[in-house]
Amino acid sequence: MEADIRNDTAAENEQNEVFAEVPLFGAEMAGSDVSVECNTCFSCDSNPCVK
Amino acid sequence: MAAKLNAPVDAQIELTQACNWRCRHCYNYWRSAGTTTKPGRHLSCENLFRIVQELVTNQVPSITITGGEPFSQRREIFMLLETAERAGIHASINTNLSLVKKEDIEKLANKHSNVSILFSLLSADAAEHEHLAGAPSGSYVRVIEIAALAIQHGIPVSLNMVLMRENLHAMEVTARLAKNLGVRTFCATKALPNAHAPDSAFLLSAEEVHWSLAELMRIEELLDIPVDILGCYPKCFLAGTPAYQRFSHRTCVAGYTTVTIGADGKVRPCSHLETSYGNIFHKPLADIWQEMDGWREGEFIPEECHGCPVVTACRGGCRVNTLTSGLKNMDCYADTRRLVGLSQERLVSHLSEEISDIPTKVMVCPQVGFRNEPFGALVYRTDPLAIVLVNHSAVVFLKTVAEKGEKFDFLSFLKRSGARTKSERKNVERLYQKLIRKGFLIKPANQQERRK
Repeated sequence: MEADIRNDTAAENEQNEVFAEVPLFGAEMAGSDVSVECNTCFSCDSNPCVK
Repeated sequence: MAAKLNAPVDAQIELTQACNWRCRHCYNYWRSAGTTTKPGRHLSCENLFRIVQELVTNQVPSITITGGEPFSQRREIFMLLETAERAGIHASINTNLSLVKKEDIEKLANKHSNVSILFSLLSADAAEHEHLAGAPSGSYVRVIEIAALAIQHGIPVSLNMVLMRENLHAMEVTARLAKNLGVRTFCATKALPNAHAPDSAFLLSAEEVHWSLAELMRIEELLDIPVDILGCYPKCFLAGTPAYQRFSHRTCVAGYTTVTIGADGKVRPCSHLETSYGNIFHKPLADIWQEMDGWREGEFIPEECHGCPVVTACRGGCRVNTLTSGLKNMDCYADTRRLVGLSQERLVSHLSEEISDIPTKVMVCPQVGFRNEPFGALVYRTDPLAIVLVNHSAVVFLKTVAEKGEKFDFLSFLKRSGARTKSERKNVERLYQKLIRKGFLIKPANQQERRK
């Protein structure tokens, strides 16, 4: 099935917000050129974590 | 304000309190200085099953099996792996490898292909390693044999060298050994004080930590091996040297994305600390997680940090570094003078990679899960493990196209995203790339076949 490019999903979105990644650490970083990874060890680099 | 999660992303499960080694740097709180480990309690198969049920209820996508030495409970560790795997939970193991048998490696490789291993090695010099680990003679050779066997069997293995004053000199030679073994990543992580024995004799000074970071980067270039650290530092500690910013992606995640479940069932925000917020066998994990809200609200961020422009991303460094002075005090490596004149952008790491081969059409990977969060959802998959946090509108889109099995391209994604400004479009493009890089958006099967 091919996607219909009409803006139907946006219409469903009551909050009408732009798609965005949510930075876990540091919402103040929003708008900057970088995002802060969750850094739960594995998620950044597939390393398991030792703490 | 930082985003807060409804549940942890990862649970460290301390399968047992028992360990056959006596590492000088051991952080297990139940060990006291100068004493050997008692046989220790461990989690029974029945209790492990109950824990996994709680994790499933809370959609926790990942566990890290640790201890003690988890392979001292062979039956239980394999039972836990099987139960977690059936529940769609990713598992990794922290082990010293010394009790692992050849048949264990074969079993891991044949039945648990998604499992990864992190093992500790304190030096490439056998005598030095065994001395620092309090391990019997011959342990080193055995560990190297098993690590090599695991890598031969295709198991992802990383090596963590815990850094103390005694073994700093051995970083390069240990990294060479790691390279020759074929480990995925060579990690060099400074030792932390033990909660009950904050002995500073082996701990690194600020200057020694800086030297170790420089050495790690030199090793990476010299040996062409991926390197990392597994601890976190206050951003101001790293701020003075731009090259060190690559290590600033790690932040304290205690009670924020992770919890530790002890062999007694007690749930703790940090594996180094004894402080518990409830027992998983007597209280739902969701309630215990709520009890830990102070960790997410910044209860333990030092007063001196609250005016800092990067406090949310930094969270004051590692709380274990304050053990000798109190949890709410400054991390002993903090140096706020270094922050002067540095912008926020320089204090966060640049981890995202550009994707060179962006498929024309993509679809949502069938294995993707969505966990509702106050800000939208935690999107996750467990084989391989990956997560990304997205807002409400993005998750509505992803769920919709996932349910319908729709294929779409970037222009379609962009159009639906609602982005209008150049900056918004750039952020949407970055999100799209990240979803591909982490395997949430994949090439449809017929597109893959056509390319073949």
